[in-house]
Amino acid sequence: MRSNSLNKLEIDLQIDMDNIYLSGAPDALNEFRKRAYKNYQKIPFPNSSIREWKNTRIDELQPKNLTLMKYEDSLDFHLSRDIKDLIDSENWAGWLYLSSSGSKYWLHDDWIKQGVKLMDLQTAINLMPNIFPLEFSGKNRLINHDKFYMLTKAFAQNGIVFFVPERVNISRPILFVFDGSGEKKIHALQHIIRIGKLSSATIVINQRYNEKNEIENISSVIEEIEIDSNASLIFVDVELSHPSWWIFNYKSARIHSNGKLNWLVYTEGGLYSRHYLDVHLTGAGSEARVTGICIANNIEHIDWHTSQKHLAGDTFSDLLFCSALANQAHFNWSGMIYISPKIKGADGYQANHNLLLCDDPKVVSKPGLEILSDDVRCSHGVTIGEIDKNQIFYLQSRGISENEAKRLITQGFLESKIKRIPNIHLHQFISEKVNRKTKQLFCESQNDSSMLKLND
Amino acid sequence: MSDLNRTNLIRGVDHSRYGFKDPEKYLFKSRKGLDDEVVRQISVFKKEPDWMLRFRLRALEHFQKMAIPNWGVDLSDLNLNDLYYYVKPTEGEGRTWEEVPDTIKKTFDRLGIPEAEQKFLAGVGAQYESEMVYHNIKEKLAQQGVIFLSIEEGLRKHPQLFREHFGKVVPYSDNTFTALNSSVWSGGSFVYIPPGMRVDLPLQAYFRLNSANIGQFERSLIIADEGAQVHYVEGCTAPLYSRDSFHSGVIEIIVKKRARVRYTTIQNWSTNVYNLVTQRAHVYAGGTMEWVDCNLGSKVTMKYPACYLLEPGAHGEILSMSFAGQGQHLDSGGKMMHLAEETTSKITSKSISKSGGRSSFRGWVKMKQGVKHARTNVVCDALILDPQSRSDTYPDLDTEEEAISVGYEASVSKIDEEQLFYLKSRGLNDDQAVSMVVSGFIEPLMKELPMEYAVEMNRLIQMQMEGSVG
Repeated sequence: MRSNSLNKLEIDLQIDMDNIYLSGAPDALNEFRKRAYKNYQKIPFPNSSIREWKNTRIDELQPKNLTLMKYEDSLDFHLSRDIKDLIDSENWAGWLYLSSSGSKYWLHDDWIKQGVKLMDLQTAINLMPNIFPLEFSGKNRLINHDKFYMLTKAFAQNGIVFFVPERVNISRPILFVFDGSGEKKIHALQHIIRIGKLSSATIVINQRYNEKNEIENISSVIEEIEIDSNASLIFVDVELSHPSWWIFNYKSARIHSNGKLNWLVYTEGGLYSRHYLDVHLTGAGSEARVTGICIANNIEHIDWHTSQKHLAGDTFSDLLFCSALANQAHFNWSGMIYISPKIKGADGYQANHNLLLCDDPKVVSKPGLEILSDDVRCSHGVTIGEIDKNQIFYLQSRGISENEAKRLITQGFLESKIKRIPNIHLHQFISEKVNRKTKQLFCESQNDSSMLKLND
Repeated sequence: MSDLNRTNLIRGVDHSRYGFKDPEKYLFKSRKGLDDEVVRQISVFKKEPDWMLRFRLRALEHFQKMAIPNWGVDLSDLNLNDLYYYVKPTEGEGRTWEEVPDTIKKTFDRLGIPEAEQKFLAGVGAQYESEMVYHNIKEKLAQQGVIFLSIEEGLRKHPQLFREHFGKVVPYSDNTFTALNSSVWSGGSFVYIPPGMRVDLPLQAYFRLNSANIGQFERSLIIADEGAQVHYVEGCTAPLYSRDSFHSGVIEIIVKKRARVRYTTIQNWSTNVYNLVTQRAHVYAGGTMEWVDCNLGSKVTMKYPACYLLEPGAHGEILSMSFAGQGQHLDSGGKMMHLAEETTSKITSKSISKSGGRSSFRGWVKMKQGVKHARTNVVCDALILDPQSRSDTYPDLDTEEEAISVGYEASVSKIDEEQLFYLKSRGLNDDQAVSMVVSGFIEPLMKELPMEYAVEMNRLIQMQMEGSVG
């Protein structure tokens, strides 16, 4: 039985080899994609008996008739009302909207003059073909044994390209919006972000997914970030709920000497989402702060695999992942801090705090340390538990209902983590999303409990 | 005694004390390798009932189907076909010290067993190669119904009690090495403490490997009946040969209602022994199981004492210490399975790596759905003494219930320069200062050992620390 399902994807995916060749792409890039395709073919389709895929619902994925989504601008493509509202705000220094029916982008003139590049991947290949073989050569490769990673390396159809040259400080944030839509489609995207020496930028990615009659789609996205020496990046990565989507995300960042990254990822649950987040501290004095906020209810399933690799001396990393879970949601987190031999003065921290709200959600938390040097300070912590009864009692004694009290505490628990991003405007942007999902969580659980009472 | 005096005293210890070897003398040695015939031979030698032979053969069949684990430590050099699976050093087991053959007696004399027995042990067993050579228990305890026998004798004298519990806590199919152990087990202790009985002094077993290329497969079964209490201590040593030896024990413990068992291991195998041990306890309502696990020796160790908390109010505790020196990889930790409401557990791990050694903590806490108000706390600290060494932490916390509390924290660091500076400013040299900080680091664990063992542990630590600075 299992071997049948192993071959299913290869048989059913029906990705034409021709999709490897992007129009206008230089030969070197196409060659690289061909090599990735060969690797992709060698990797068997994952199943839950493989160690890395244990505790996942990968066996439920029926890739039958899934086909690759082509990204071509359609003639009648125009931005919808809500997108216009989102990007009209004067808060942004530039924006890029990407969906399978087309892409649009805008960047303030000031930054264009200074050489900042913001465009979609297809446009970038046509406008600046020479830089791409280098960017695609897998310098940031974080895992080369993963099926969907290789799929994306071989077949990425579009993506976001954002380059900041040396000594440019973009004061306002840049917004990227991705709208996933389609029926039985595989979306393969590659985002490339590079911040030049002594530059700084703030980026927000908002990924939204449509829902249509529970027809399954796959989204497989590679995000590669390069932060040059003395550069800094604040990066907010928002992924909204995706009830019928399988999401595979591969995020990696390389930070050179004295570079700084402050990364916040916000994920709402969905059918299944699997994220890899890799931070490579390659230059002395580099720093990374990563904050993860995850909310899931019902049978939603979120998997996170993080790693903090200290490859140079005096590097600092601090990772905090929090989750609020209700109603049989499933949250896996595995994290690793790696300190390579002979480096001095590395400081690594990772923490995972999970709040369990009702009906026995499942949490698997696996922090890990691999320390091959002695001059280090490394620690990690995990907590898993329900809301403190005393806190609920306190709020109730002030006249707040139990459900409302729980919602407030949950919201406070998650919102306090948002403050790790040093930008007030973004706090509000993320809070709105956190609050909306938290409300949903409690409305649903309240409905459930009232239904239970009726049944009694 | 001041710490300084203690350090000096310890430095005077005869370091050859554990490293000596005896000339090989044995009554029977099976041929190398493992098959049906070797298993049958062992069973015949032990005059076992038929069911046990069938059990062994089933386990062997299972073992032959299983692969050597490819995670944790590196076992690629381990050649299971190059081992002697059974070595019988002497005819029968001694009841008094005089009955034990001279050569063996000399060995254990050097390890200090008879003197220890007289002073502070309730009972002692000593295993040489594959067989227990000596077993004794204080008469008074025996009269009160406490059973402390070699496992073979346990099977002969208490067949029903034995069969009821044997292989129930650790089934042979659990992992590759339990299957192997179940097919060729030999030696170990059988302990039964009757209801309400408290054994104040510890029971002790001592294990020694003398031949090269030998596999030792001890198997112990400890049953603490309702409300009983016991402390069992095991120590392990082996001389250094150029070729590797193999030790794979299985320890099964049953802690009945409100009973309390503490199992302490001081493992000091020589650094060419593969030490792959499965230890597990079933803990019933209100019972407490404590594993105190000190790993100093061996080439590689894979050992994760486990508590299955089966009924409400059961409590499990693991106190684990490992000290990995040159060429050693000690992969230890523990498992806690919360399978009932109101169960609590605690894991404390201390590890030290030095001279290129690697110590890993691997822990697994599982909380099944419905285990309301279960609580656990896991703390592991690691100390790395030089740039060549390595320390890893791989915990796995797996919960399916909402009304629980799980806490976990770990840290890895080197010795704080300020602490060293402080100690040196008080007149200690580098060596002494580092030793003292290391002693302080493992202090919480030392406190849990009976005084005599704490002293021995300190000696062993000092031996490991010798020459670590400058």
